[in-house]
Amino acid sequence: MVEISASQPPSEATGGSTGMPAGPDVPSPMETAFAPPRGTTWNRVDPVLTWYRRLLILAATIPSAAVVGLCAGLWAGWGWSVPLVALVLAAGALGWVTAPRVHASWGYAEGPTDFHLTHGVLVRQLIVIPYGRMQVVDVTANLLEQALGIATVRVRTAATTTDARVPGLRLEAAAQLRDRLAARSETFSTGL
Amino acid sequence: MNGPDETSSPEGPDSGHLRGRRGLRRAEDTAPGQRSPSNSGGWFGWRRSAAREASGPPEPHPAPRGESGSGLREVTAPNDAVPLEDPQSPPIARWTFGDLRRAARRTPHTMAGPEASGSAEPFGPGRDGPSDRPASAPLRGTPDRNAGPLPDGAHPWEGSPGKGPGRGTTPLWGTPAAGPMTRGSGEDEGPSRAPSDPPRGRPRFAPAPPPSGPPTGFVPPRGPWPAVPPPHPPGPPPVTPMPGGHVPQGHLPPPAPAGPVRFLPPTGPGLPPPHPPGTPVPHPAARPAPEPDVTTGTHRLHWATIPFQALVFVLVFLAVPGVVLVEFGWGPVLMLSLTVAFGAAAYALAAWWNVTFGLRDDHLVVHTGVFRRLSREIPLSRLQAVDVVRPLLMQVMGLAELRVELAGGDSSEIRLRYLGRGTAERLRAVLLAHAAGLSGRTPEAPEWPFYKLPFGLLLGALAFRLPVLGAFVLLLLLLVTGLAFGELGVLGGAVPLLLGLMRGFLGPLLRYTDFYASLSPDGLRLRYGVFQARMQTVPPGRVQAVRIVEPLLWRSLGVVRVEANVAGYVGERQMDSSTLLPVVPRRLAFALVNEVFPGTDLAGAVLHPAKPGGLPGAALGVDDRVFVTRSGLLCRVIDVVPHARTQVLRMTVGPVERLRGTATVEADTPPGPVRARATGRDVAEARRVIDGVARRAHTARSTTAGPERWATRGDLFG
Repeated sequence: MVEISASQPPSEATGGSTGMPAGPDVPSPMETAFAPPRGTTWNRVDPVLTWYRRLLILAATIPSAAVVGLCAGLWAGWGWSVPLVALVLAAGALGWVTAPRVHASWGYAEGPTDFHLTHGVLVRQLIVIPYGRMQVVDVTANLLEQALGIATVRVRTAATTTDARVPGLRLEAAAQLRDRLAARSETFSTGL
Repeated sequence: MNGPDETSSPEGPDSGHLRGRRGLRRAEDTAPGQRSPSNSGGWFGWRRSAAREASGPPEPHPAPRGESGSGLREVTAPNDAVPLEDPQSPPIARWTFGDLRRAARRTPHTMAGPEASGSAEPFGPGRDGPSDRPASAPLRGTPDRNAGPLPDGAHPWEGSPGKGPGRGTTPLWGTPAAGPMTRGSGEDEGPSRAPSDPPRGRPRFAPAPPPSGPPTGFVPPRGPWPAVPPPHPPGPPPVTPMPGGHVPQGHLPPPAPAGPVRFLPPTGPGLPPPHPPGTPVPHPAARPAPEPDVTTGTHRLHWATIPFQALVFVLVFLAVPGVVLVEFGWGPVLMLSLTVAFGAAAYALAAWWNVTFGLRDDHLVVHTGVFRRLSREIPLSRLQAVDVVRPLLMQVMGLAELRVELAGGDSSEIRLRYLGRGTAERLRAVLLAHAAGLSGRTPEAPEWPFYKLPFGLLLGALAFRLPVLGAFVLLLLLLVTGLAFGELGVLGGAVPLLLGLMRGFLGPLLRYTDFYASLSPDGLRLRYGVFQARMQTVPPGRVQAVRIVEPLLWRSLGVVRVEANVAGYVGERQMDSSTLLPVVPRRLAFALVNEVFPGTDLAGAVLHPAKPGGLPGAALGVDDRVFVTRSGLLCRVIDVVPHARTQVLRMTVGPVERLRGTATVEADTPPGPVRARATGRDVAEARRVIDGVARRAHTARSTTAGPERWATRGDLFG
């Protein structure tokens, strides 16, 4: 979909292999399997998502490190608290380091009849949602997202097992995506 | 086939009946001129099975065999009949998964086919489907399947063979008068027919209002039940013999305007019924006590609800605080009870007065609430299912509860309790008619027996499961040791076991006693339960997905369980209502799936086993209609999601799967027991499956409209 890729930063629309592990020149079977639908490319989300994620990690890591350190220190002796705190911090650091990859794993594409969505670093997913099956398309932004100027588009279908959302879109892009999806779900509308 | 066989002997004749009946229907199809007015009410076959019709005149010899043992048999018969007396119809019941697997091996592992390059026609089953057929032919029914006594084959959907594949051409219902008439003769006509073996299931729910003037004299003396007047073994080529002589028709009031009948489309909501108001609608007249016409005006619940509620209040009062108050003597208790009774009666009266319901156009309008008024208006085109529930007490009182399921989640259910039984069933029919887009005055759709579960089979099958047997043995051991050593500690283990047994064995046993399933134009109807009699109706197209569960031991019995995802059944009711057939011979289960998802041929679907090394037993098959997965080694589960109902497609690759180069493909449907997950697929193949299914799903969605007002369109199940 041309109009969509236009709305994205050009550097982000370069294709599916960005940031994925083990990317030799020849696309691995895994990459082919997660390729965008024919005639489209993955639209990548805004890089701000990386910082959004990092801030979240920070906000989770520091307090929990403090709590863990304090509790361990008080109950088991301060000798215990150091490794525990280090563990928590290491986990946070891991999240911090992998944030760009998580960001790069998100991609969406609007095929002619279906909305394609991919994400996940450890567990990669490809989700195909027919436009006709979309029941609700909404845009949400929590406080942090608002501060960063991004929003999440969430698509709901009658199948509750799927959590289909596209985080880290610029507000305008999110609104446009929502409108496009809503319009298409109208044209392709089918009952339950 | 231990269980089922016990009843198998007399069924030959019965299947003969079924065939005979089918012949009859077909004959009627060819002669649309003769039609009962009630038939012209606009119900037409809720599906026209192109495939089956195309497969030619199915039954070579309708073999009107003489008489049957008891009426009940006619439905159970076909199941059991298969192996015994129909050797040339090996079909579904015969194949096993071993066969399947073998066949799948014989065919190249198509899904992972050589052309991994994601061709336009990417995935195996679809691509190879046609070419594979020969290989898998032994598995499939081949033409014989129709010839067999498959009850569904015996169902009237079969159009006249002459009409060819143009499925749209023959009305399935609308022409044949056999349905209601015979049914009427079967049950409503009680006295005239020999009540020899009143099918246990029937009395609890009269499936339809008494027909106008059923041929009393003609009724088969042994009264098999709903239909199938045995006497008319309408000769072999059932097509031609215009059964002028065949009875039900003879009695039909000559329906003048019956026209060419495809289906008589609905008049607009609220308009008079499609058929001349004079002739039809026999029920009001036939019923001794004319019930309120639920199609117009607003109505209230049955008055007996008031004393019932008051009584419940008083009983609760007596049970809880009353016991404490007894210390003060009986006088105060009596006084207080009276007070409570009056208060409760007043409240119940107010509540009863404030609950009204009625039909307005295509909407069901329900007002409830005493202090906080709640008014709901339900578009009936969104209706998902209608259940009539009658607990034991309500059966005694002649009341029933009506539940209307909508797709909006746990609180979206409408419950009307309690209605008079007749009113409830009439309202149910009206709601379903509206949901189908017909006039509310359309007579209740006829139905054709599909399956009757013999109690012996239910009992045997429920007991014959590993968990139940294991728990039972363990329980016995515990008790014996406890008795031997005088140790009370065994109770700690015995009680949970007992509870588990009650839940896993006794619960289903009581719940599904007297199970009877029938097919009708307005959907699949299930009647079951003795202590809580239920009648469930799932309209066509509302079944989102189906799974066939086959526990290890059941395989030797050849029986399975069929469950379904229906959008209305969520939360607690999902557990409650999602089982379509608790115990059923395998081939019937497949037949049901083929009916529920028209155009599918589940037995013919080729399953491709997963890459070795993953979960054992996993397999995936895709054809033009359905996405089929199989999983489980001990307890085999086959999940079926038709493309037309697929909500979301997902491919997932976890860390372990990445190492193995496999992926999991999943077709999501509205919540329910069915989860079609195919694990262990090669990634490239998985992607082809995703793309191919997405494309087919799009085609399926665009060619078949939704299930709303299905009767008014010819395109459903296209």
